Amino acid sequence: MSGHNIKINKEKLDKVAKDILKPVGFGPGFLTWMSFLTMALLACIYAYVIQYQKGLIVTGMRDMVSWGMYIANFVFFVATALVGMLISGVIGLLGYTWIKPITRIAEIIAVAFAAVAGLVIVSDMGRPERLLNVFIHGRVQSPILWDVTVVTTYLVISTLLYLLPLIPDLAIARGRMQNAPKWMMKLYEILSFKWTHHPKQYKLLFKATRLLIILVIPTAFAIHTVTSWLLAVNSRSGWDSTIFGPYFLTGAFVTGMAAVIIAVFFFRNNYKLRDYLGESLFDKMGKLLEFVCVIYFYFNLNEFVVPAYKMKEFDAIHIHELFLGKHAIMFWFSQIFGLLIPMVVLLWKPFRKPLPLFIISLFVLVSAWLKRYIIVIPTMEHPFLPVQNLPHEWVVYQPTIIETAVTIGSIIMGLMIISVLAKLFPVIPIWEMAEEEEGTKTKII
Amino acid sequence: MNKYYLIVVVCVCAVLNVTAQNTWVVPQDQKEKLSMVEFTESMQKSGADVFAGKCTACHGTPGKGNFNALLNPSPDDPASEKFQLNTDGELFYKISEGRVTMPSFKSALSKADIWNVIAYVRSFNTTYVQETAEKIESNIPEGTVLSLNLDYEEEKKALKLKLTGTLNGEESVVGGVEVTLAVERYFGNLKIGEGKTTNKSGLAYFILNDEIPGDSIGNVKLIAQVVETELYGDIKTEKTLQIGAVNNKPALNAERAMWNTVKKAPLWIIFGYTGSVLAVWFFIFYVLFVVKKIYALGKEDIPEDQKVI
Repeated sequence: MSGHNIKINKEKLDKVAKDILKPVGFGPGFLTWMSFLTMALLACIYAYVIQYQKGLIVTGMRDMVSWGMYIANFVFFVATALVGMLISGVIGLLGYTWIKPITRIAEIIAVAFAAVAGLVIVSDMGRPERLLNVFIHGRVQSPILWDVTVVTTYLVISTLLYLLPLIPDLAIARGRMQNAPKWMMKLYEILSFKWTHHPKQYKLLFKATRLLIILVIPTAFAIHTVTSWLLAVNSRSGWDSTIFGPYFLTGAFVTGMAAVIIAVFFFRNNYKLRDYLGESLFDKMGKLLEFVCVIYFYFNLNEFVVPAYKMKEFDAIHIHELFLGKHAIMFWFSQIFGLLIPMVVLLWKPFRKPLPLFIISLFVLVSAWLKRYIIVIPTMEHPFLPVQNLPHEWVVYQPTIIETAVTIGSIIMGLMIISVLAKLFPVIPIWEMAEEEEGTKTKII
Repeated sequence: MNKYYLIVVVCVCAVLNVTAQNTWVVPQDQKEKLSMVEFTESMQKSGADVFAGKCTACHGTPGKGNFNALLNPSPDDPASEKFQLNTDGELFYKISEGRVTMPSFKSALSKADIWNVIAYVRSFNTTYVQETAEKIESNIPEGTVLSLNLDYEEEKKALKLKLTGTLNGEESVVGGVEVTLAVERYFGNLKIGEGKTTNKSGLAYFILNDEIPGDSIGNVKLIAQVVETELYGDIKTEKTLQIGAVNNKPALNAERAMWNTVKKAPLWIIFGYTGSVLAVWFFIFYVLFVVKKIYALGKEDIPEDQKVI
């Protein structure tokens, strides 16, 4: 642990706390937004009720394509959740301090997406009431059991990594939010764990957070590697790849970075936090996005060019389907707009300014979702085992309206969790921003 | 000069020798040729007469091994295994066409004579099972109840399928019906040869060329059935016979393996999984313990000089 003692500047704290605590609380704007989300979610839940009653027959999944939009969506959610690890874990441990204002936003995204990822998997089950059987009769040899374990563990670690650095802030906020509702103050009191800014408390907090930051790296690596293994342990064309683990992981960094940039851009403008989420921060985030894009591009090159060079019988069918066949538009859209163009334009500073970066990130995020679809579905359409006399609609996958609605529902749920957390607690760590500058650069790391 | 001449002779002989050793390739359609009728004793007798007149000079008496060994390629004994491995069609082709020292008999002998010679030669092979090209019409009267019987004939090393029909208490054999034979195994049965048509005596023979792996005492479960179920109904018989090779290998689910149940999972995966889960959760609980300590510190006073704010 760092030997330094933390010192917080009183005047600075007053200003920072005032700015950051201002948007906290459920105002009328928030309630309107939430009621809109609730209405939309209710419609999606209705779609799920139909699926629950009638079973998975209401989806487009049949004998051949038994993994559809739900699994693609699951992979997308897990991928996006990894950003918590990238920001706090990797970049944080490397000692970069510019990430301080965005660590909490990254953790919010991690918690929201990891939590919803678990639900998305349940939506892919025809008999969700049998979920417990996965644990009771789970086979330790099956990547599905590993996946369930590691998603749960990652969710717990991310939640702790979100809540622990929040403790001093809640203590600060308790004295400064006189107008807040009583239940909120009660919640703050419970979650601030009798925080008195005791130096020993800070020391313990640093110790615990540091431990979690180290712990979150292997866990996050495991979560997405195992998710990739769900596909890669099959010998099917398009999945049968030795680089699927790192390919997924680097793809996850791109997706997660885009999600964080979108969120940071939103909070910067709507929460009026331009002083803390400044242009230089966007420049840094843009550079990080560029960096992860380049790595992801490198893995894409290996993943597609090597099989395309060899054109082995079954791989050739798969690659033709992606490059020129019916999935070509989606494939090239996601590769060009979600990876190639961002990778090139982000080299120039003007594109790393908040608005251009925000727009690029939107493209990257949408493309990332499409890319997961491209990874899961086309492979399912070409099984190795000869299947005969199947009706056409069993062979070709087309997501149904119900399936799409349930998927949209999961995205809405993710947005709701982010919205609630961002209004319930401050989105930027107050105490870390109000630290004395000289010589005491923290300390978690 | 003589030296070179010798070399040339040796070379020619070597080449001839090599050609003679070459396998005698018979066209596929000729190879599959079958006699229209079943060989009878009278056919064998007239075959023996023809053999004595035309073949003995080179091939000797079958089974005696007294063939003319000086000839190249060697004529061999017709009772030998090498001879008997030929199909009926191959024998017919070779007798008809001839090669090198073996003359062609297609103008010297009638086709019936050639088949008689083959019938005679086959009489020296105890394991021989004849297949005929004869079309046997299966006019089964309405109301006949068909049944399949399955046996192993040790002498012929073949499985004998017998199709019989019962009508008004009278039993008769049924010929001209296609039947198949299979051995039960995991994931789909193993077919033995192609489907065969029952002969006039209602019999079809399936020869086991390779040893079939059986259970710990060599039991093999066989399934015989009539092919055209739409025409004859689902006629099927299953029988366990002790004709397979004794197999003492443990069952696929007996030992620890990736594909086994969780209780029989490989140890490394059990320890790897539980070990990592326990390690990570140990630290998660340790963090919760630290939070508890933070809570406890809340009651402690802070000295003025140590104040953070």
